[in-house]
Formats: sequence, C-alpha cells, structure tokens
Amino acid sequence: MLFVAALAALAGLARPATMQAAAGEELFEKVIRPYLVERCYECHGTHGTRENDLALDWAGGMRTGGASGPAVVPGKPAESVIMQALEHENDLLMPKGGPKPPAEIVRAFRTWIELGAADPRTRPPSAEELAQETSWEEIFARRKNWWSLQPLEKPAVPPPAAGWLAASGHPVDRFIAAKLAAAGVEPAAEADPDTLLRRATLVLTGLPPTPEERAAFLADTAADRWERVVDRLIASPHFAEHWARHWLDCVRYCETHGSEGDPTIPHAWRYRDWCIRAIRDDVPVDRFIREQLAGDLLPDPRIDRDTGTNESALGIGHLRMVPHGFTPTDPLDEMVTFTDNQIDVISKAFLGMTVSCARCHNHKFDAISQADFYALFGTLASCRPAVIQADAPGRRDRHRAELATLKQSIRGLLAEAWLATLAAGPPAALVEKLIAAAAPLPEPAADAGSDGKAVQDAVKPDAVKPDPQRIAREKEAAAKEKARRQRMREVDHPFAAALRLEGLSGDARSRAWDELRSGAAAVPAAQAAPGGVPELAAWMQYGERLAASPPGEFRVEPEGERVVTRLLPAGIHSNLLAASDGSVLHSPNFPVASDEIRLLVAGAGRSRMRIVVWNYPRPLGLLYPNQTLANSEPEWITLKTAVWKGERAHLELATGGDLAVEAVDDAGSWFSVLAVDSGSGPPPAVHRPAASLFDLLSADDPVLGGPAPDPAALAVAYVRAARRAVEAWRDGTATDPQVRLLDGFAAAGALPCDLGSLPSVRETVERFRALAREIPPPVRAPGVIEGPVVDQPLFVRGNHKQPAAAVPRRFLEALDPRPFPPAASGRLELAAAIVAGSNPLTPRVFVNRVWHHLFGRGIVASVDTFGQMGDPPTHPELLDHLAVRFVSPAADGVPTQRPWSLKDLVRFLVTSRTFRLAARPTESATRLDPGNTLFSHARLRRLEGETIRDSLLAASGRLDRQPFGPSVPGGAARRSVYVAVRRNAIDPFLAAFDPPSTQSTQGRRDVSHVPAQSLVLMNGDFVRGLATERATRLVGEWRELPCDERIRRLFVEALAREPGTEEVAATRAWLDALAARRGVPAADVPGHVPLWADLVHATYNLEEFIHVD
Amino acid sequence: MSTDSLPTLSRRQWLGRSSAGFGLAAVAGVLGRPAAASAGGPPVRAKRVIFLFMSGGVSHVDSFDPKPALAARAGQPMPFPVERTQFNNNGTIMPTQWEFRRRGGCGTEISDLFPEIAAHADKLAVVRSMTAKFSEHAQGNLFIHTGFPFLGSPSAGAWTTYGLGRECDELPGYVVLQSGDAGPPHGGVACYGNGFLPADTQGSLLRCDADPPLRDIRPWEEAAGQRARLDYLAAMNRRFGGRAAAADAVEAAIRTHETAFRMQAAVPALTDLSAETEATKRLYGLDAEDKQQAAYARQCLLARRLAERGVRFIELSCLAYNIGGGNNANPWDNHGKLKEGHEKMARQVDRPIAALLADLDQRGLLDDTLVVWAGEFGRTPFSQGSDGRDHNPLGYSIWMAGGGVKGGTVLGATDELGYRAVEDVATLYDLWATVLHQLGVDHENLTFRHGGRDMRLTDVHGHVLHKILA
Repeated sequence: MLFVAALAALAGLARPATMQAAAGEELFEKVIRPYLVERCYECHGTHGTRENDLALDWAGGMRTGGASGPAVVPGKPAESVIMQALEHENDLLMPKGGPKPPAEIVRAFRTWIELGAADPRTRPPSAEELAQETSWEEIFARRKNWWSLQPLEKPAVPPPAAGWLAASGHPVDRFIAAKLAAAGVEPAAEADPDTLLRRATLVLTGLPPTPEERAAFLADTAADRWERVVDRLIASPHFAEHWARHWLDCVRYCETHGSEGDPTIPHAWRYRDWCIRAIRDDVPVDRFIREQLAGDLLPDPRIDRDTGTNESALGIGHLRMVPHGFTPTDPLDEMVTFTDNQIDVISKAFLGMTVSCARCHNHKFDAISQADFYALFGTLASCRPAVIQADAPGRRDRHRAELATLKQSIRGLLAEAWLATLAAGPPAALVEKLIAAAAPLPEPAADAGSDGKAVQDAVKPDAVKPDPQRIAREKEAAAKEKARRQRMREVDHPFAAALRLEGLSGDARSRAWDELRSGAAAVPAAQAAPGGVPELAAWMQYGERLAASPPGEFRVEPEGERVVTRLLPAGIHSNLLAASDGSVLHSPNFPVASDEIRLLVAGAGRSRMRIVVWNYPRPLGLLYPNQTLANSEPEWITLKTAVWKGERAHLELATGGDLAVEAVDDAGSWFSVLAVDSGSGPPPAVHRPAASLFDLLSADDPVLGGPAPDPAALAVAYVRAARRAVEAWRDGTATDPQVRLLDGFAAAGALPCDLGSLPSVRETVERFRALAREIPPPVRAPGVIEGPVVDQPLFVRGNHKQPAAAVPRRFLEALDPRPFPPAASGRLELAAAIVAGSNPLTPRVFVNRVWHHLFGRGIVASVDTFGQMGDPPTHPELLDHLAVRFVSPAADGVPTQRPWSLKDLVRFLVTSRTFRLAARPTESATRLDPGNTLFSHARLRRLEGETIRDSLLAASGRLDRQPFGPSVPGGAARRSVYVAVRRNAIDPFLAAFDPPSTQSTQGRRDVSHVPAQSLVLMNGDFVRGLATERATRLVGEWRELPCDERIRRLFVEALAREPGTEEVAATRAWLDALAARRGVPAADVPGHVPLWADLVHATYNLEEFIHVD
Repeated sequence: MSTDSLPTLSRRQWLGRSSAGFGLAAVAGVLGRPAAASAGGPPVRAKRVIFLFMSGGVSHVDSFDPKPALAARAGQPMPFPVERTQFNNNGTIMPTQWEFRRRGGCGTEISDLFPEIAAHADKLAVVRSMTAKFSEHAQGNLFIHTGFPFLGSPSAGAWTTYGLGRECDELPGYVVLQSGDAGPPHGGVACYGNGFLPADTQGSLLRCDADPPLRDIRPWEEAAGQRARLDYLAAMNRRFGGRAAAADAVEAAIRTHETAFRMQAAVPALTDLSAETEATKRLYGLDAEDKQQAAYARQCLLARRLAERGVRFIELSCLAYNIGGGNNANPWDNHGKLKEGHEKMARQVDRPIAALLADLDQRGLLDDTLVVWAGEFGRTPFSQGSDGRDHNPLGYSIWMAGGGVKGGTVLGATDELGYRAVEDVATLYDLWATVLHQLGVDHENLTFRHGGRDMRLTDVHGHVLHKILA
C-alpha cells in the first residue's frame, strides 16, 4: 500500500529525459529496491546461493542476468526476464513459494524499466553492506506497513444513490453499492420471501425453517417482519449452537489427542458448551477472547449460578486440544510440536497471522520474527497441561470452617475415649493384640518374596491359567508384608520392644532388653536427601489447598462404621476435609540428574505419581515412569529416571480426577507425600525420625532404667507411652513416633475406631460427614495451570537441540513489544494485548469471519490469513467501518449497539439489503464479476456436514433439541455440535462432507463433491432410517390427504417452499411409476410406507436440500 | 493471490489453488494427458503405485540387511551409546535366526524370511539406508504416509491422485485394501486422508472380502429403480440449478451422483474373482491354509485388478497374529517373540507379494506400476527383553520394484550392527520424491497453498534416489 502513493506520483506521463531519469531513480528507491531486498536478495545475491547464476543485488548482476537471460534490459520490459517472472507468465514464478506480486509492484517494475532502469548500485555489495540492507530490522520496518497492521480508521460512508441497494440507509449497502457502481455492475434484485426465510434460518441457526415458522412469516404483513424474524433467530438457542460450531472450527475443536490410543481429553465437551453459552449470552467478543487465553486467571470471572461454575475458566479448554504422540522418545521435540500447535491456533484464530511459520526462521513474508514465536512459546511453556477446577468462587469452600472445627472436636472426643480405654483395659491384652497384629500371616507368602514360584503355585488353584501380572502383584504384596514385619522388629519401631521380648525369659530377655536400650540411642535420624530434586517445600499445588501438616492429621472416613483409618505422619496430605477434593502437587522444573527418584508416598483411588518430562502429559509405559498409588501406608516408591538424564522434568502427584490425561473420577482418591529423594543406595527409613519405646516414655519412667520388664510391666509401660501420646495428639503436639504408636494401637484394634465403640463421637462424626457430603465434586475441565515461568531460548533454525538466548515473553513485536511481567506466565497480558485497542487485527479478523459466514465469502477471502500470503480485502473501507463500529459503536454514533457484540453485529449485517439480494446475478455481474467478489448477488452455498445432518433430523421430525452435556455418538438424534469429535474416529456421515481440520484453525470450510457424499445420502443407513421413520408417521397422520397434498407438504418440510405445479406432477409421475414397478396397486399407495419412504428420501437427496441460496 | 472461496470448488478450481506450475500440469492430467507432458517435469516412468505397507516395522537385520557382526557379538551390550527406545527395556545384541543368501543374478543378500520375494531379487531395488524420524507407530505411520507426524496432511496416495488425476471414473483414485481382520494402522484413517486436498483424493477403504466392500456402496433398491430415481432427481436438480443460477454446480453434483451410481456396479465387479483362473488364485495363495495369508493374497490379487483398471495408488494392509506385541494396528511389531511373529508375518505376505510381482510382470503391468514395500521404521539390532526387538527409525530397509526402478540394486548401508544408516543415507522424503519423480512429477512443484504456506508431500526436504533408477 505504501508503494501506491509513490506510483501515483510517478505515473507515466511523458517527461524530458532528465526528468525521466530522476523519476526512475525515485521509483527505484521507493519501490524497486525495497522489493528486491525483501523478496529477491536471499536467493539471487552475490554472496548467497545465487540461484540460476543470477545476482539481483547490483546493477551489473541485473543486466547480465542468469541462466535465463538478462533480468533487466533498460527500456525494454518485454525482453527483461524479471518481468516474466513477476507476472507469472511462464514457469518462472517469482518470488518462489510466495504470493504473486501485487499488480502495482509489477507496474512499477515495468515503468522503471521503461524509464531506463536507473540503478545506482554500480558494484556488487560487500557482505557487510548486504547484511545491513537485508537486516531484519530493515525488513521488519518495511513489513509493518502491511495493510492489516495499520490502525483502524473510520472511513466515510458513501452517499446514497439511485437504486434499491444504493438508496438504502444501511451503511453496508452504501459501501457495496458504491463499489458495484464503480465497476459498472448492477446488483441483483431482492430474493423472494421463501428464499430469504430459509437463508436466514439456515445461516443463523443451522436449521431449516419449520412449516409453522414459514407460515407465520408469510402471513406477517408488518413492515418490520424481517427485523423481527432476525431478532427471533438471533435469540434462538440454536443460533448459539450454530455459531459456536463456527468458532470451534477456528480452534480445531476435538475431544481426543489423536495418535496411538487416541486418548480422551478429559471433559473437552465443557469447552464446547462454554462456547455455546458465551454466544447465547452474547458475551462481548473481547471478553470471549480473553477467557480463551486466561479465563482461569481473570479477577472478575463470569459465574454460572445454576451450575456453580466459573464460566470464564472453561474458555482455556482449547489450549489442551493439541495432538500428543505416544511415548515419544524425544519429549522436547514433542513439546515443541504441541506448543507450536497452540501458537498456530492462537495466532490464526484471533489474529489471522501465521506465527507458526516463524518457528525456524523469521517469517518469509510478514512482520513476524523468529523471536516473536519464542516469546509466545515462553508464555505457553510456562503453563502445564491439566484438568482444571472451574468452580464458582466459594462453591467448594462452604462448611470448611465448620468441618475444621468439627474435626477438632472429633479429635478431642477420640482422645477422651482412647484415654478411657487405656485407663480401663487390661494392658496385657492390649499388647497381645499388638503382637498379633504384627505377625498375622503364614510364612509361605514371605518365601514368595525371593522366589515367585511359591506364589505361582499358590495362586494356581483359583486361576485358569497363570496370569503373569497377577503373579507379579502377589509376589510384590508378599515382599511388602515381609518387609513390614521386618521393620516392626527393627529397633526404631515403637513396637520393637514388645516383639523382640515376646516369648523370651531370663537371660535371653535381659540381653534383648539391653540391646534395645543401647540401640535406642544409636539409631541415627535418617533423612531423605533431595539430591537435585526440588524439596517438597518448593512444590506448587493446584486445587485443594494443601499444606504441610504436623504429625497426627487424619481423614474422617466418609461413610461406614470406621471413623478413622490412619493417623498420618508429618507430610503433605490431600483430602483432609472432603473426600471429593481434588489436587495436584507438582514440583518446579529440574534437570534430571539421577538414575532414580524416590517419593515416600501413600495414596488410593487411582491417584498417581509420575515424572513429567518436558510437560508431556501422557503417563505411558516404562519410558514415562508413573505409579498409580494403592498403598495406605507410606512407602518409598521409585521412578527409574536414568533414561531422562539431562532432560527437563517435574514431578507430580495428583488425585485420580485431576490427571491431565487418563483422568479417572474417583471420589475416594487421595494421596500423601512425606519425602522426596534422588539418592542412590537403600532408601532412608520410612518413618522419621527413628524412635522406640524408650523415646516414647517420659525420661523418669521407671521401666527405662530398670531390668527387662516382665510382660505385664512392659504392657503397662506401653500403656503409659500411649497415654502420653494420646494427650500430645489431643493437644496437637504429638511427634511422628507418637503418632505411629497410636496408629499401631488403632490398627491392632487396641484403640477403638468404630462408631459402635465410640457412642460419644457418633453425633459429631455424622454431622461432619453430612456437611462433607455437601461439598460437591469439583467442576473439572480441560486447561492449563501456571507452572514455573520460563523464558524460552530461541531454537536456531528451529532445531530444538540448538538453543540460543532466551527470548523474554511478550506479544508480537509489531503490535506490542513490551515484555510480560516476571511473576507469571503472561497469559493475562497476552489476552489483554490481543484485544487491546492498539491491535487492529483482532476486530478486523473477527468481523471478517462473521461476514464470511453470513455472505459465504469474507471481505478478506482467506479468513485465517491476513498476512501477505492471504487475499487482499475486496472492500477495505467496509471492513474497517465494520471493525470500528464493532469495537466502539458509541463513537460510531450507534449507542444502541453494544461494544464487541456478536449478536448486534449479526443483526446489523443481516438487516442490510445486501444480505437480502437474490442469488441470480444480473447480466453485468456475470460479465464483469463472475467470482462475485463485489457481492452483487447472494452466493449459493453447500451446507456444512453438521447442518446437513441437523436438517435431516429436523425435516424428518426426529431432532432432539436437548442442549449441552457430554458428547453423543453420530447415531443419536442430537444436533451435530454435540456429536463426539474423536480425532481418529470422526463420525462417518460428517466425515463425508469436508469436516473441519482437527489439526489447526480452519475458519473456512472446504467444499467438495465426491461420490462418497452421494453414496451416504443415497444408500446410508442414517438417511434411509430417517426417511422411513418420517414415512411411517406420515401415512398415519396424513391418512386423509391426497398424494399431491402430501408431496406439497413434504417439499415444505424439506425445502421450506411450495413445489411448483410441474414439480408436483413430476414427483407424482415418478411415485406412480415406482408403485407400478413395485407392483403396488394404486389404492394401496397412500398407506405404503416403503413407497413414501422413497419419496421422503428423494426430497433429502435433492441438491436444493444441501444448499442454501 | 491465493483463492476465491466459491461455494463449490470444481477440481479445476481446486487445482487453481496450487501455486506453482504443477497446477497446470495437473489440469493437463485431467484432460487426459500425462501430467508431466506439459510442465517440463521428469519423464513418466510409472502411472500408478502399489504400496505394500508393512505396518509395525519389519526387522531389517532379519530380512534385507545382512549383519554377520550380530552373531559375532551376540549377547554383548551395544558397543556405543544408543538413542532412547520406546520401551526402555534394551537387552543385548541379538543375532538373526534366518540365513541370508545371495539371490538371483544380482546377488543381493536376502534372508530366508522372504524366500519367494527373494526369488524376484533381480526386480528389486533395496534401500538399506532408509531413515524415519519417529520411533512410535502413530507418528511414524502418519510420517511415512503424509510427510508429517500428525493428522491433517494429505497422504502420498492423495497427493498422487491430486497430481495425476484419475484414469478411471468408476473407482476412487486412491484405494486402501483390507481383508480379514486388517484395520488401519495407529494414527488411524488419517494415514489415508486427503488433508487439505480435495476430498476426492482421499483413500477409500475397500474390504476385499466383505459385503459390501465399500461403505454405503450397496443400493437398497434395484438398479432400474435407482436409475429412475436418479433421473427424477437430476431433472429436479436442474430446475433448482436454473432457479439459483447454479447450473454449473448442479451439473457437477449430477456428475458426481452418476459416478457414485457407476461405482455401485464397478466395485462388486472388481471384487468378483470368478473370472480369475484357479492357477492365478493358487499363485497368489488364495487357497492357503493360513487364513491371514489367504486374506492378504486376496488383497494382492485385487491390487493387480485395480492396477489394470487404472487406479493411481493402491495400498495394502497386513493382518495380525497378535504375537509379541504385533496386533491389528501394527502386525509386524514384535517387541517379543520375534522369531515366531516375523515367521508368521513373512509367510503371510511372501507368496502373495511374489505372485503379484510375477503377475504384474507377466501382464506387462510392472513396467509402469511402481511397487513400494516399506514399514514406518525398522527394528533394533539388540533385543528388547529376551526375544523381541524395539523400534528403530535410524536405519532400515525398504524396496521398490517396477515403474522404472533399477532391479537388482542395493542402495546405502547401515553400520556394522545395522543400527544406524551410514552410507547414502535416505529419508522417507527421498522415498516420495523418488516415487513422484517416477510418476513424472517434480516433488518440489507438487504444492498446495494451505494455511498461508505452500505445502508439499516432502515438506522442505527430499532428493530423488537416482542411483536406483533405471
């Protein structure tokens, strides 16, 4: 566009020779040189590859030319090869792989050559000169002049003129009419009412008008009947469904990750429902966009009171709709691929820019640098794929304060009851129970720990054939039990004394007692050594608010007789108040440095621990170590990480419903983590710090200094220790050894934990449970959570193994170069920048998308590409008029329209006369504008596959209009927007009609005619079934109606218009011939279902049925 | 600039979206002349492709790439560091259990895994230095089919059909054969997709032994009734075309319906093998006791019949025995029990493929039919666990025959252990560049503007493997 002015000033008037030369020089500097630098030097430069032996970076090179002859012959454009290349006249299509040069550029070259091809570049440039001239800064500065990046300005509306269209008071009509007049094209007439109603209904709601709606419209004689129909359609819930589907195309909506296994993206449908509700509620589009980048972070979320949902948070769901490979061996490459996909979709859907093209090098054509790509990359890579919790604020907080108080009461009541038990019970019996609990299993299982055969044999009788997995499980369980009993005998176990002394007497007993006593002092306090793995204190959390708990926390069992199962050691524990809580505990990033990483964990209900390498979210196989937790007692669990040494990773613990992939909703899911460690060698003790009976008694306890106590005395000592422990636990000062002692007592049944034995606790527990049950499970949705902030190093030539300097996170330099603040990913800032008033792309791109859907072709035909590879706007002034009006209607003098309102924009456009033009072009339109780029008439359009399917359901009376919810199979009668979009298994009916890509933004559907469509419509079970159903009903309902009247009504159902007399006659003739061929007597025709099914089916097979005009 | 979104893009309009000179060539193809004739492309050496896709990954060190060093170092760890494997369960160097022998006049060494294919060694150009980029099935399958590791890009069959147009009006240009329990590989039917190319270039799944063989191909009414219905609909459609000024679009639709109508007869005729002699059926192995072999034999015979009818791109699907990890979607994938698994898989395809080569040759079809045998990757020279091999994309073997390929040649080599390609390293981009070259198309010129970029089957890579061309 910059060049146009220069050209206009220099347009080829006859001039004296000196003036000619001066004009040539000026033209060279203003147009020719910049174009050569930008488009030609890279391949045809003195210092580069010199394709075709041609150097275009100096005058000599131009004139000598290359293998195809002189590029420039001064004064002779026809002999200048460069002209052929620029005009795409033969196979020399330059610039290679780029757009054909704009006509004004080609004209400029021609003029310049005619003027003598003045060229001051008398010698080849040095490498330094060339580098400066072709520097990104220079190129970037020039490219920023591209039309779509220029500020929005409000052009004047052309004045009215004669003619139905040009006389319209509607600005759209004036812009359209003015261009038509300038081109000498006569607009079409207004379409007939049937066509208009069907067009509006299909285009606005994706459904055909019902016979009743048609009758009402035709009967309406009021002057504003059109406006009222438009209002009705925009207010229809089906408007939102249809337009949401348009948007879903822009974000490659899908519900699986593709690849091997095609795993489900948990709750993906919630994003689809969010989209429908947002459009239904006419959420301002700037807000709509913000929510899709940072809806979870917005300080003022939209709340759906009915469902208790934070609506805004659902908007980020599309960030998860990336493809994921299956067990990639190069997870950084995988991360680059899926982050690239996010960037691709964000930049195309909102900005109409292909930022993804700048992953390996600066953009070939647009003002987008490679740094821009990595600036956005950093923002997205600072987030982690997740199942997010989208609850309205406070929804899951209710009762929590009271629950905490009740839990404190339960602790007090339990302590009271336990102290009573300890005071009353016979101590010897208690200790017997402890010993019994410690050694209850028969020995064979223990042997299996070293030899699987024993277990294998043991399980044979009840197994049809050996199940290796089961054998492995049994073997593992046996080994664990053996280890547990071994640990209990160890000196640092509170029950070691009881176990060691059991059955001993005399000297043996004394020796054992002395060993215990001396050992007690010798036991070191074993500590986990993080060794390169981030310490738990540095981990982040999501969901339920987790905190490091002192020893003695517990979970109140949500149901049943048992009040509490375990007293918990110090650690981080999920679900301490509500079983339905969900949480993710995740570490900072760290480079894997060890062969193994261990966590001291417990968990149940499909909670899982895993190592996440480069954010790859699928927990798969041996390569991505992970473990589903099914141990209520904390254990060291090891992840084998040798294969990932040097890679960036983080650790994660999550409840079952909160796994990013393979989430399992399990209300009983919980985890505890006590320690993390990357050391080699034997793991530190499970229990920390080590302790024994000697540490649990008061220093002056008589048993400590005395001889080996007899069993009765030992039991009494244990009871003394337990009493001290209960008191400390009650007061919140218990140590881990004390908690272990109590836990052991409780596990052995020596302290009552069941409601039957605890009448004083029952009421409080029941109250607690009732309240806890009222905390609903989280509203879970796909999304990302904030992780450690990462400024992404630029990858040299896109090679992820060649990182260069980190690029600060920011928006595109051409629009807003300010870096994002350091504390967070920058999604909020990115969202703000995309909808900022200073960014003209977003409103231009959005209003153009709406125009495309209403008129069948965008003002910019390439709706996803507003860069140089895209199409230029046919009506740039109209586009800007619409964009300005869209974002600031008040400034535009239409205070009744709300800013960024999709519905107001649609209403504005559909109430134009341009929308109401007939599809039949005028003679001048056919002659002068066969492509209808000037919108002189309506476009005939093939319906999208979804609309075809919905029309079939609607016309046959089978449409189930229920909105929202999890997706359904294609065989269901719900609208197509609710049909599951599984990447590897697209519904076959929809697949036949050019479905949108699930890979990237596709704002414009392809339309092809292929035999598969004919076959699915002619022979497919879906269509045949609907036709048969309709026929079955109609032979009953329309029993009294003559055949011709039935035909007439079927046409109205299918096509929303009356058939002409000839059409009825032709249809009747075909029907009669069919009846004759089938041997159906004339009298039987009215009740013959198959025959009528054929007829209904035929109406569905008409081209008119799948088109809108 | 790029495009005008007319509501209905005719093939010619679609082709107009192709940026470079190839668009013209492709239109020429539609008009019945070979694509390259008008565009200065390479000479046409093949008119169609039969793609014998070995899904799951055949072990090259057990078939087409002899490595005596494996026996010498059996049981030892790999002498150099290796890349990550998908199952991270690497064992030691595992020798082959099949004898390699020199075959035919050319002396190419091929193992006893494929004795009957080996008998055609003089027809084969074996590439022992093929490399892929992904060591997992889905990405690997999409990559070998489309040049990209994720769905949404056109398959080589779609590019071929798009570039050359169709020779036959009654059958799709790109047919994927299945029989028995065969299914699409991991990555799904996107491996056969048209991506952003026109929908009529996508692979049509044809089940050789099912009724109906093609989805929705069987009419529910007699032919005469359907004919009458189509005539009625055509008349009504033309009326609509006149009213909506859409005569062209409606005529295009009517032609499509007519094509579909003819397909309904052509497809059953295609799969009806009654006209084939018993000798021919026996040659392929249709009578094999192994039902998977018989089913694969049917695919091979149908491949010849499709080639005769001018279908551009024919892809075959192996069947599984569910041994050692090799299942329906990845039959060759013997992570365990490689000996048993590969033996059965090889027996399934060896005779039918040998018969196909012989039959094509005998009928003079091999001259202009390019047969490509390849999997998405090879397998590791070291074991996975005790008796399997893991995926290895770093160097493996494929072969081509017919269609202007120089038979009896070997290109490239892997290292001493067959782990990594080291000589004349080839890529799957090179494979397709070569295939397109034989079809008379310069792979750099077969482009389609999509999403602001000129897309290619070979992305920004690919070199024709001239050394194996006659």
